[in-house]
Formats: sequence, structure tokens, C-alpha cells
Amino acid sequence: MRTVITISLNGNAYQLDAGGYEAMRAYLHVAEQRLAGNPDQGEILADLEQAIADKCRRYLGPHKNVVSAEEVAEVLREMGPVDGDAGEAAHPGAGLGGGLGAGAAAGGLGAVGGSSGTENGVGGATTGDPAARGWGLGGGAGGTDGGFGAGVAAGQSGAASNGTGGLGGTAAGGGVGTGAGASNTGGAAQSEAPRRLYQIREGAVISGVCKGLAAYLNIDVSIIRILFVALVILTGGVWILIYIVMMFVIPYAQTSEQHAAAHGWPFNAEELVARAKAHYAQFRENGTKWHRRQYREQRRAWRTQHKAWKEQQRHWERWGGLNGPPPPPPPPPGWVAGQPPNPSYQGQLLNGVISPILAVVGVLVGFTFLFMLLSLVRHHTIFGWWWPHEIPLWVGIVFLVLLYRAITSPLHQARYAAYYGAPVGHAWVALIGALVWLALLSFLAWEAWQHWDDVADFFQRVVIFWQDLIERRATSPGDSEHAALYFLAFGVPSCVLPGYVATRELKSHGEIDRVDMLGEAADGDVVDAGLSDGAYSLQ
Amino acid sequence: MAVNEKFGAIRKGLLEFLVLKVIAADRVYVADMLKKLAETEFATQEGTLYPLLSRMRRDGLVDYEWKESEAGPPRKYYELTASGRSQLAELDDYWRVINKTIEDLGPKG
Repeated sequence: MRTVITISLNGNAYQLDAGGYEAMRAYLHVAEQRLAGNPDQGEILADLEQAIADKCRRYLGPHKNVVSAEEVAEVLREMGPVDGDAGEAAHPGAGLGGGLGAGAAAGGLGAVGGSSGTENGVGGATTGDPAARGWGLGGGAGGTDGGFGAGVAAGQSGAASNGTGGLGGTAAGGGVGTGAGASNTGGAAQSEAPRRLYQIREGAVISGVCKGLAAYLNIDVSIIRILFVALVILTGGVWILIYIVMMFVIPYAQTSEQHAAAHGWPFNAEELVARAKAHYAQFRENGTKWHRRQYREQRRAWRTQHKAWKEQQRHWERWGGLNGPPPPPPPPPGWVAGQPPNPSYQGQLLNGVISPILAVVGVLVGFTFLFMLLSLVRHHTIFGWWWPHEIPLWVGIVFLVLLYRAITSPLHQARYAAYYGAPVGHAWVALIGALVWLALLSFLAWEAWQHWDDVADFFQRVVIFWQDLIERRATSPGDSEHAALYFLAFGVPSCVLPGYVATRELKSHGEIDRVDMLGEAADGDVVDAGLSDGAYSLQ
Repeated sequence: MAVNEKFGAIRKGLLEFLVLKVIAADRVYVADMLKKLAETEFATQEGTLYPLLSRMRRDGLVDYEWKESEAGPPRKYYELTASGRSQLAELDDYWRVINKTIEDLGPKG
């Protein structure tokens, strides 16, 4: 069994097996690097992709829809190294390197076992079959040599500088074009995956700051959390403000690529597959609702992909015309990691404008909600309206939480849609939702104005509460445990709240987007804080 | 060092000249060019040709237009510009001079 990866080459979908994918990725990566600074870089890359696609199609037929690693290696060998210095080297006398027939190993693409390397994959430095030919990442570093110095490049690139690499180099320089020699899959290129600081929602207690930081620093998240709690206590609560700032400043890891960057994992096929496998094992182990929902999302993503493929097929039929259409690209095999589409540039721009506004509004709503909740718990009243005695209070809390969720979900959808720019219909629905929601908000604000005393009272209480807490810690150090517990209570997983569970049930049946579910924590804390506050005051 | 290898740099330098010649003969797309060159000592590959063509286009020697093909996606068909033609003529003359020099030098057979 082999892993298959679907790629798009200049708009055409192709399936490659994992080894072939790595080789092609490496080839295009090197091409991109070599063409860096070339004003036509994008165009040349598109042309190259198209040429690769044409060559790959040769290997596909009605009963064969995966291009094997060997075939990819052959295609790339035919393509030849990308001549980054075409500008200079093409002038007479400039190209001092080697022959034109520099061959497969030319251009610093270290030979990765095309045949045997398939299984070797990426993990680390693996020595391929000496007779193997192909392309790999190994040469990425060696690709700096000018022009056609093929032999030299191959020699350098092999961290396998055990002589055999040099041998491969000579062979290539001689125009033989077989990069014979020990191959190196370039562990170096892999380990240098960029690491970025993100917030990680999955499994977060509050917003994912600690989780992201833990991933970034490669420390167990519990240590970071304990540290944060300690800092809160030591700074007398000021750290909470810092946390909130971080919450707003540090971006969320949303795509698989960002998740990988958060952990500093290399983002490539092998890793994705490995993680997908691990995920699946987890899924089997505890088939919770959450996992089932994930699965549905993946299926949805797959359907979208499939639709794109269908369109492509039509495209082929159109071009096919008279001479018998070339075989359409094969259908996608399924979906490995569900991830939102990459944000378009316009989407990001739009997001830049809308998002801060929506964020501010979101905070305001959060506070309003908090106020209502507090008011309900403490005075059994919402904006002056008395909660009927015959209905238990928790019903009111559930009601409020549900209301809050219902109100904020269009907001989150709007943010999401603004960010990703598409689909348009979705964005409009979200926008209308957001407008309705704004109207509601204005009404609430007006109400709050009418009951200004309560609002003022609420803020006063929050301040007093914090003062109280800090004082208590100062006067009796033993009680700091209590404060720590309190802080943790912020993060008591929202699922403890009956209202939340109910919402989750609702969502798992409804059509509400994933982001609503995950993108809620920022406001969710406020919810938790409110409830904890209530619980605390009731003690 | 094989002769083949020795002249690598020369072939490389002449590639642009050859490409100009191929394009002058007929309006061609890249696969055509590769096929024509493959039969000669100047066999080359996409990885070389695309960057070269892009530079030649920037230099104003060649231009292309998209043409729909009977099978597959549209292709770029290349043709020479006026300055490309004049450069080709110049190179042709120069090549003749070089050839003559080579023949004139050395022992006469």
C-alpha cells in the first residue's frame, strides 16, 4: 500500500505517490529559489508546472491514475535542472560549468533513491540504493552554484560526501545524466521548519495562549500553565491583563500549515500522513462527538474538492474536442487533513478592516452578556426584568448562554468569511446575520443605558472582587491556593457548564461552522469568569 | 576531458542563437523547439529553455501568443520580434566570420 497525494500543477490535479510528491516538491522548490529575483518567476514556474503536468499525463491511463515515484523521477530528469542564471549564462562564454547534458543529478538536486527512496521518505538521512536515480531535497543547499556546474553541485549536495557523491557528480558532469551515488534525503532541510507563535484552540483551557507558547517553546503545556498561574498570583492579577493582550495579539493557528508551524513540525506530506494516522487512531479510540464532527467536516471538504475535480473534468472535455480527449485527471482520493482554504489576499484585506470592528463589538457583547449573567445570578433580574421564581435559575443561565451563542455565531462567521473571502453567499448570510445582531446589540446597549446604575454596579463589583481576591492572598498566603483554584476556574472547561453542553448538542446537529465552536474561547472566558464569579459569591 | 564536455560551454552559449534560428523558421511552442533541438547536439530541457525564453522575451527578441491546441491546454507560440530578426542576422554574419576564421587557421588540408 502506498500513500497517494493529490497536487495541483498549474491548475490540473494529479495524484503522485508520496515519494514522487517529495521529489516534485523539492524540484519546484529549487526552481523557485533559483528563479528568485527573476521578474518572470511566476510565469516560468507556471510554464514548468504545465510541462511537468503534460509529461505526467503520459503515464496516466484509464486504469492508472497515480504517477509513481519512478515516473516522477523520470519526468523531472527530462525536465532538467532549472537554469536560474539563464540571464547571464546564456551569453557566450559565461556558462563555464559543464555540458548541456548535465543530466539528472545536475543542478544540485541530490539524487534520492527514486525507486527505493519511495519507502524511505523524509524522516531523516537515509541512504538510498546506490543505483537509484531521482530527485530529492538533499540538493536544496547545493543549488547555489552558478549555471551548469552540475557535477560540482551533485558532489556538494550529498552530505554523503563519502566519495560516492563525487562520483555521481562526475557522471552527471559527463552528460551521462544518472546521478549514481549514495543519496541523502536531506535531513537538514527538514529540521529547519519554521516555528511561529500561534494560539492553539484545540485542547485550550482559555484561549490557547499557553498551548501555543508550549508548542513554541517545546515545553509541556502544564508547566506553562502552572507558570502562568504563578505569575498571576505574583503580579497580583496584572498578568491576566497581559494574557488578555496576548489573546488578542497572537494569531490563531487555523490551517494545518499554521499548526505545523506552531509546533515547528515540518509541513510536508509524510508528516501530514503520520499525523492523520495518529488522529485516526485517536478517533477510533474515543469516537466522541467532537471527532465525529471533525470527520463530517473532512467529508465536506472532500466533497468540495470533488466538485472542483468534476469541473476540471469538464474542462478537459472541452479541450479534448476532436482528437480524443486526454484522460481526465483522476478524482481526489479523499481528504487527509481538513483545513480551511487559504485566505485570499482580498480576504485578508477585508479582514483587516472588518475584523477589528467585529472584535470590538464582540467584546462589547461579551461584557453585556456578562452583565446580564451577573445580574441574573445576583439579583434574579435581567435589565430590570425579574426572573420568575417558579423557573429555576439554571434555566435562565442556559437560556442566556444559548442566546449569547446564537448572537455571536453570525459574528464569527462574518469574521471567518471576511478572512477567507469566500464563499460569497456564505459571506452575505453572515453579514446579514451580523447586521441583525448589531441591531440587537444597539437595543441591548440602549437598555443598558436605561439601567445605568446596574452597569456601574457591575463594574464596581468586578473591581471589588479583584481587590478582595488580591487582599485575601496578601493577608493569608495559605489562601493562595484558593486564588490559584480560582484562576483555574476561569478555565474550567466550558463543557462543565450545562448551557454549553446543550449548545454543543445543538451545534452538532446544526449547520453552524466549525469556527464558531472553536472560535469562541475569547468570549468564552468571560462566560466562565462570570459563572465563577457567581459561584464564588454564592459560597 | 571528453570533447563533448569541452564544448559544453560553447553549446550553452550558442543555445540562444539556435533558439532564435528555430523560432525564425516557424512559429513554435516549447515542445516543438525541444523536439527540433533534441535531434542536434543542442538537445536541451524545459528547465533550461523556459528561463532562457523568458529572458529573451524580456530582451525583446521574441514574443509569444496563446493559441488553443486541439488537445490539452492552450500553448504559447513563440515568434521573433523585429529586433530578434536583426539580432539573428547579426549572429548569422558573426557565425560565418568565426567559421571562416576556424577554417583559415591551421594547416591547410
